[in-house]
Amino acid sequence: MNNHLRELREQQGWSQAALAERLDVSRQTVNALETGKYDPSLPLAFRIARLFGQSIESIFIDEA
Amino acid sequence: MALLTLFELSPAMRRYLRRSVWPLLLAPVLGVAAGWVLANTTVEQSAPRLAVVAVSVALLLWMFIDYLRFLRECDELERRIEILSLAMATGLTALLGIALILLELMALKPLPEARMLLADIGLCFVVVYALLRLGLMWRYR
Repeated sequence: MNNHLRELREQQGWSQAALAERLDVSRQTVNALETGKYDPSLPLAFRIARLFGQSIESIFIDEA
Repeated sequence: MALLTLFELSPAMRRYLRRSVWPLLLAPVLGVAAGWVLANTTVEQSAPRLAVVAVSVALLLWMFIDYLRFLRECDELERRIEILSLAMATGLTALLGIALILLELMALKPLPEARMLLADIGLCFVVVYALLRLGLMWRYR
């Protein structure tokens, strides 16, 4: 699944580590999310959406 | 640089390693004590031998509870990596154990003595788990 996480993070001027701290996950998880290697659980997707003030479907792109 | 990210420890893993220092320090002490008990007691003196077994099980339980706490504290990707590594290492180790027992049942190869069997199975589990964990961390790095 693709997403706009990297663009959103860079717009805020945050490093991966800073975003990881805000989401309470490891930096490795942020990197895996940004590169599309890992799809987040629903609770984590909601946390990401809340943090950036957007809806889940505007951040994560369903390719199906 | 990509290799370095493999060894980047998450906050949950750092806390887990800090908590594991005491049981890991106690394990070799217990090993020496077990050797001493075996050398200096007879089979009839079962109390010290039972004590060694009980303390070993308690130490393993302590490490197991610490590990469960780590699983609760780590984030979802790390938990996924841990559970996949554990499941595959457990499955492959069980296969090895069953294969050894079947060889014994078919009278093709006798089981190794208990100490060797424990070492073989333990080593198999640790090696498979470590390789799988590194592989999965590489995949998600």
